[in-house]
Parts: sequence; structure tokens; C-alpha cells
Amino acid sequence: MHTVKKKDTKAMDNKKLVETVAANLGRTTDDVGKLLDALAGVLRTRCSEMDSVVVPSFGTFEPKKRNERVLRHPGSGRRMLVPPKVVLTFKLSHVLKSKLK
Amino acid sequence: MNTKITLVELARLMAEATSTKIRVCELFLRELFATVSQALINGESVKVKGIGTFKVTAVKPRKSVNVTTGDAMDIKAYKKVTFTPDKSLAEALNQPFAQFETVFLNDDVSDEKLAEIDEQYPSFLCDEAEPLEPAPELEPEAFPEPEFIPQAAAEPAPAAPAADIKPEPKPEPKPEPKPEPIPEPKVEAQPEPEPAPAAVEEPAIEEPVGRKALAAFGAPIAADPESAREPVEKPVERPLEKQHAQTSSTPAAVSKPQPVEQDEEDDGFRRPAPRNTYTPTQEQISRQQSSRNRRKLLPWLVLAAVVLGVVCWLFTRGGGKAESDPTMAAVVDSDSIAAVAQSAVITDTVTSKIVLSTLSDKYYDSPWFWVYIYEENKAIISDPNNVTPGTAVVIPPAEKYGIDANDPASLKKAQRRSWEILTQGKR
Repeated sequence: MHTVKKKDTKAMDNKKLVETVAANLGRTTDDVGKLLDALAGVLRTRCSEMDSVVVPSFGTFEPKKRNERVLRHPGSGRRMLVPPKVVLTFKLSHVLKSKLK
Repeated sequence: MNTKITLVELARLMAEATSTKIRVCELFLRELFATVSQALINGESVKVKGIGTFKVTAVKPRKSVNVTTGDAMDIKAYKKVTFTPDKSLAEALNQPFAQFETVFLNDDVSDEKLAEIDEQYPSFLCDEAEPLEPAPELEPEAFPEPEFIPQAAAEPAPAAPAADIKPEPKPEPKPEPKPEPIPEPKVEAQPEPEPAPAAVEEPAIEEPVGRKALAAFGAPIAADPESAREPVEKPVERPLEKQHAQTSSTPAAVSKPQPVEQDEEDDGFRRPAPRNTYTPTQEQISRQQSSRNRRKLLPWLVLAAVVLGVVCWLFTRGGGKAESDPTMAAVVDSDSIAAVAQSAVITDTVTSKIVLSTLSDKYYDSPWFWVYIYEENKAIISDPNNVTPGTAVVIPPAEKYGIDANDPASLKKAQRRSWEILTQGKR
């Protein structure tokens, strides 16, 4: 995959995000911050139970289990046993995908 | 498990967590994701606290081949969003596998080697069981739990402890330490017949003989009073020693708490047991005088007898308590050992979050020993990586497989075993 890494000139950090959302909702940043924390908490508990979260026109958060596998270390050439793990994947919705182009 | 949570559902869960209105949460969610989307469309990367970072990356146009037709085709440049979960979120999700680390496999790990390890297994078990023993304090009443899974408490566990736990003299001691006791009968045979006919005065003469004999036969016996008090050390020695020390002294000492007078007579018989209590000076003096005048010895003898009596009484009270009835105690003990081994078998339940390695970490202080839990439950578990939640598994006692989180050898063995198990379907 040929990807071009842009220099991260434009970035929205958490603070800016919270401020924007607070402004649009007409609420305080405190409130929004609490709601965001709650969202993170819910995501954590539900995704830990392997439930996926679907946000329409945004994307899907889906925890996936990766099996353990044996790799060859590219540098040393030694075999490694990579342990199984659960990762959170995010799949962009088609709506947003088309808007990105 | 594996259900899809919609935005409305998400809002409801959030409302429950924050005790706000569902409507507020839903509005917040829509606004939040709209903002994030807008930022992404603008080409900004967005970092959301507690969730993760969304990043837009541009993908260059490239040429490819249509898989079905084989025609060349162009893929236009596009942007994609990569998501990196927040560290705390990722760790929370990966919690069941958190203990695992990437392991380098040695190239020399082969089937032969693993087979070799398997061969060593039984002896390894025995070696392991000995130092682990917390034995001497074992009291039969301490392990009354009757619930266990009998087949799980297979031969190795009870057999190994049986050898070392024994606080009582077993009627039929294990054969291993035989070499030591061999000199003993002689030593004890010597002092015994002499004092038997002789009365209170005799010991002075006979004592040096016993001493010399002792010296000739070396250290293990010289240290007797100690070893006798610590039943674990030399299980075999004890029966012999007891035969002469206990048989004569126990009844008297136990039945009468302060048998000083009796002990004076007894003490000739019991001399060998508490020899250490004599100081060299006493001995020398008694040796010289014994040839000249025995009467002068009397005070010394009385003193020695009293000392002996006290020591013997203490000794029999401490050590003899457990040993007073060898046969009965042995019977009780074998029961208690079986009970120990079996009561140590614990069952636990696997859930979506608690897997074998989590259990291993809980019971053995290292996640690597999950292999032994798996082996113990092979009948129920088909795939150790995919245990059905709700499965009750038997946690084997640590001694059974020589599990010791502090022992690198034990850890390594478990790791090799896990490698073997995990790859057996793949090779």
C-alpha cells in the first residue's frame, strides 16, 4: 500500500474537540468532558465483552481476536511466538469514506 | 457477546453511567461524531481522550490487476482513516491476554528434546516436592475437607509428600536414606545393654564408650536430639531412635509430667538420645573419677540425671506428642496426606474474561502454568485458546506438576510445554 505521510500540521486534540462540541451543543466543556469520559467507559466495558459499537455514518468499532502466530524476526531471523491478543478495529462507514475523497 | 450496539443503545448506556438524560447523551454522541467526521474531512487527525486517534492518510494512485479478468486497472488516489486505540482502551480489551509476551523460540527445540523433558518428568516432580514441603506442622485435623476430585489427586502428589511430610515414624520407612541408619543400630546397641543391668552409678563408665562409639560413627547421629525434634529431616532414623529412646522414656515421661526420680533410673537407657547435653568438662571429670571413686561422682550423676530427665521430658513432650502412637499416627497421617493432596484440588470457572492463563496467574503466580491446567482438563477443553465460558476447570495442586513461579527451570518447562501444545496442530 502506497501511503503518503503528511506532516501532521493539522490536528485536532482532545481539548479542541471538546471545546468545539461544547460550543455546538451550548454546554460547558466540563459537561462534555464528563460525557466523553462516560463514552470511553462504555466503549471499554462493552468492547471488552467483544461487543461492537456501530455509529451510523461514522464507522464501526469492533474488537477482534488475533490468534497467536509464529513469525520470523526480520532482523535476526529467529522464530518468535507472538501471543494472541484482542485488538479494537475501526471500520470507516461508506458515507464518511465517500465524503473523504 | 458479539452483539452490535447502536447509537441509541450507546446513548442509553451512557445515560445510565452518568445519570443524565438519554436525549442529552444522544445529542452529544451525534455532535461528537459529526465534529470528528468534519475534522477528518478537513484532513485533520483527531485525538479523542480515552478512545483513540483517528488519522487521515492519503493513498497514492496505483495500478493493479483485476483479479477475475486479469486486466490492468487503475486505483485512484484516496484517503483512508487509520484508527489507533487509546492505550488504556487497548489494554482493557487485551486484558485476558495481557500476561503474554512475544517469545523467541530456540531453533534447537525439537521433538526429541521435548520427549527428553517428558522422560525426566517424574523424577523432577519428586525433587520439586521435597523443598516445597511445609510438612512438620501438619496436623491431621487441619485438613478435614472431604470434598475433592479423587482421580485428580493421582499417584505423584500423595506419594511424594508421603515421604517427607511424615511427622511420625512410618512403620515401613522409605528405602532411600537407608545408608545413614545402618551404623545407628550398632551405636545404640552398645550403650543400651550396658546401662540396662547397671544402676545409677554405671553410666559414668559406660558413657564414654557411648561417646566414642558416637564419634566413630560420625556426625549424623551426634546431632540426634535436634533431628529427632524435627521430624522431617530423617524420617527413617527416628523409628530406630524411638525404639530405644521412646519405648523406655515416653510412657514414663508422658504419663507423669515430672518424672525426675524415674528418669534417674531411666536415664541410663536413654543416654544416647540427649548426649549433646553433656559438656566436655563433665565428661572428662567423670571419666577420670570413674576409675577411682564412683561415690564422688554421685553429685555429678544426679545433676546429669536431672538434666537428662528434663531434656528428655521436654523432648518427649515436644516430639513425642505426635509420635506417641506410631501405628495409629501413621494411619491417620496417610489419610491426612490424601486429604491434603485432594483438598488442594480447586475448581474454577472460565469466563469471557478469565481464561486459563488468568487462572494460572491467580493460583500459581505466573501465567505460563496454564499448560498444566489445560493438561489437567484435557478431557473438557479441546482448544486451550478457546475455552467455552462457564467451563469449570480443575486447578491441579502445584506439586503435581512441579509448579513454582520462582523456579526458572519450572517456568521454562511450562513454556516449552505451551509451545508444544500450541503448535501441535500446526506442524
